[in-house]
Amino acid sequence: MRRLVALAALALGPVLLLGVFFVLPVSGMVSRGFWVDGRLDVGGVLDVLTRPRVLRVAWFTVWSSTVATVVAVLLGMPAAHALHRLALPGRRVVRAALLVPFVLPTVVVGVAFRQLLGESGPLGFLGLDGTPVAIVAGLVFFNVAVVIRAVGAAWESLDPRPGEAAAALGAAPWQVFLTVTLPALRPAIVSAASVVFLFCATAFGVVLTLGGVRHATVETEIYLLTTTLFDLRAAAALSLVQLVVVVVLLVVAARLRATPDASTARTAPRPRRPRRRDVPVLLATTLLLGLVALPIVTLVAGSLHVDGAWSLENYRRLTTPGEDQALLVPVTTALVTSLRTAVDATWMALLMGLAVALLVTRRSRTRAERRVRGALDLFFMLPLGVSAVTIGFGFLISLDRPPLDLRDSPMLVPIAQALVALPLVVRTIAPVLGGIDDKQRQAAASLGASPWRASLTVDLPVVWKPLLAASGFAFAASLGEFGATAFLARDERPTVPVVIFRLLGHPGEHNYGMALAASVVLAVATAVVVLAVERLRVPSLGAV
Amino acid sequence: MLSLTDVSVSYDGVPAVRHVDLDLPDGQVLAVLGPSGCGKSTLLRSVAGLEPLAGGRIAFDGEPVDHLPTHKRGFALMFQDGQLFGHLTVARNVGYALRLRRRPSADRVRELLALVGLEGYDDRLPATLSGGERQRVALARALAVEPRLLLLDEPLSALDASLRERLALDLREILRAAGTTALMVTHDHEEAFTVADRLAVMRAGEVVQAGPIGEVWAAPVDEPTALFLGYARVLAGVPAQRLLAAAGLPPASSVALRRSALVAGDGPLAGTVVSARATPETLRLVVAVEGLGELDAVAPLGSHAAPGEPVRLHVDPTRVATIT
Repeated sequence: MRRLVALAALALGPVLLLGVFFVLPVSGMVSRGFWVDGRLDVGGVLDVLTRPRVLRVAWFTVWSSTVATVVAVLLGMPAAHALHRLALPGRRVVRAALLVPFVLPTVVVGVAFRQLLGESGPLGFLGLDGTPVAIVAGLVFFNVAVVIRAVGAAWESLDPRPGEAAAALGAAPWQVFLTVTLPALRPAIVSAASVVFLFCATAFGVVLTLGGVRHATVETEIYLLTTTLFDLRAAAALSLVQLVVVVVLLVVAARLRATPDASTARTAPRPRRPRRRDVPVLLATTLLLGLVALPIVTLVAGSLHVDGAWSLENYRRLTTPGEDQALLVPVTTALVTSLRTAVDATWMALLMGLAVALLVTRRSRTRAERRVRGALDLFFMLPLGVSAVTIGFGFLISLDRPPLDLRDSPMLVPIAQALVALPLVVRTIAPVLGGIDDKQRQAAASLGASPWRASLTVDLPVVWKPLLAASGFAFAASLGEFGATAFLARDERPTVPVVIFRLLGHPGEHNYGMALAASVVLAVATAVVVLAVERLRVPSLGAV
Repeated sequence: MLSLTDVSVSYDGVPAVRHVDLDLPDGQVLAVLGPSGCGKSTLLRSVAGLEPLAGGRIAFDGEPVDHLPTHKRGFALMFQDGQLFGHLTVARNVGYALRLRRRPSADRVRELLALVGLEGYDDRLPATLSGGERQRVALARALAVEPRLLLLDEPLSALDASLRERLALDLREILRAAGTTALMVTHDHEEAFTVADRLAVMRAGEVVQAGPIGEVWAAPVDEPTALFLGYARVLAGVPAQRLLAAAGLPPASSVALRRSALVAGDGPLAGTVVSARATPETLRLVVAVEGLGELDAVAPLGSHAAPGEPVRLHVDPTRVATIT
């Protein structure tokens, strides 16, 4: 009983925070859809959901996400094999390079693809700009790293002997792959695919920059309904649908992950030298590298090109508010805002994430305690299931009146970004904390260490690296965060992604050039942070 | 007939198998015996085509096979822990190779399961089987397409002692009944003795002795080989001559003794009992024998042999082996 009370006391802070900054906004948003003039109105919601445009948007979300998921898996599999199973020179560098797209801010990815596919771009002749193909390509670019990470990790630790047994029974390499390797990898593939589908279905920045109004997904439609059409009711209805679908998807993904997969408790076999029959796989990996490099190279080249000549002019203009006063503040000011916001969001996410991770990983003594911890675990994962746009939108409509009038608080954006980053932080720290044998703490206690002291001796040495990694991920996520920030950032205090989006919306070649340059700056900033974290070698992305 | 000529295998330049020559006639079972880390599993994997050769040739019926990938060699490999496919039922595991050759046959699968004594196990999943049952299924799976050579990698090592003994006998029966040519590696000399017709002893990557199992047993090539084959002590020089004389055997440079080579009662040798220990079958003694040192001996149960008592001993010539 005393343990339960202590648990409740420890949980109070995080639960309260999440209650105010997550449950309240989201439920405020939901009630906005259902309650009209003080009474329940379900019919109105159903009306919204049967609008032809809404149906079209929903259908587009489903099929574009499905296609992007399938393509990402197909492109990612050969690379996962080549980079995790074959002894290739420089494979760690290539692995890190292929991680970069995933951490690039979504707006940057959108800008890069527009530059690549636009009329004057290297692939402009394909006429794909503004088509669904461009959106799917952007989503694949973004998510292929998830497949490589998750499937690669499983593949790396896959016992080679069942495959050898099959070969010894007369199975050709492709038969070994189909009958032994693929079934063993299935949990990892399904898990990666479900995560990718989730990311695609809730993608915001990529879709908004590439699809605009014409090709909207549920996520961008919520944004458009709110900010340009002021149809809050329809937006609330769509948010609700998305919330339900995403939570169902999350639960399914969690159950799939719970099935024991090949990545648990296996010793990693040595990677083997590439042979001649690995040539197709190596070719596919090279092709993927090229496909990933192309938009990035185009983006960088474009930012350095002014009036048909190489120039740093676009970067110099970052100190100005742009052509025709497109912005209220120069991009450099926005960069400072971005960095400050990211610092604030990082410490918030880190503090809360650490508290949550400690809460959910301590060993439970009784069934009641175990249930409480399980429920808390699920509760703190909820922000992962709710799209950033919904959080931003919820903040906007719930935290605007006393006692919680935060509309003018500079903390509003960091809080929202911290919420978005929270599941990432928890998922990075919790598995490591959970992996520590409780007997270690008991041993420390039996030698006379207080609980604090025991934690310092046992937990800290193990957890400091993941903590550092988690702060890096939170920082990068905050730098690139666009969904919630687009709602909440005030015009005179924009972050870089917001500024880029605004520059894209204003006519003028200089503005476009500045958007490219700002994208490169932002991309470099996030890539540096994430690659530094990558050097810590903490497995996290695969476990998202 | 499998023939290995001058076969070498190395890992990253470090030789694991060195210049091995072996022949295995059709229908026979060859056991490669050696301590762990001696390269015997590597040798087996290279025959299976899972390790590239650093040198030498592997041929079957005179045709070289070393350029062929594993699945085209027509050999079947059975792993130490079976390596059943966890997502397939017992019947589908056994029928795997048949399906690969596009001639699935429920009858053949049933026949194989009967052969290994697992009738009715068709729909079980490998995870629900005991260790011994799993190895039987693995054996049935390996035999399904009548491989021209069966490779067995420590097939019984993962099992407990009593099961191992029983399954070793079964394995021999099954291989005999199917007329299978088999190459087995093991570190257990009793297992090798039960299952195989021929024996090759490996040490530090080299085959130190090979031949029909009885011959190897009766004449180990050197002291470490004798000890590995289960001999308790090896005597050399004058003590060896004395013991051979007492046994009525021709002289040799050294002699290996099993633990039951000296029998208490009467005989040409005299000694003092150092210790005595009763086992279910016999009384085991350690005796300080005059001119030979401390040696193991046996006495019938019920005989009196307390430490410190004098005792006379004779030698059982079938339980000693001369090393030349």
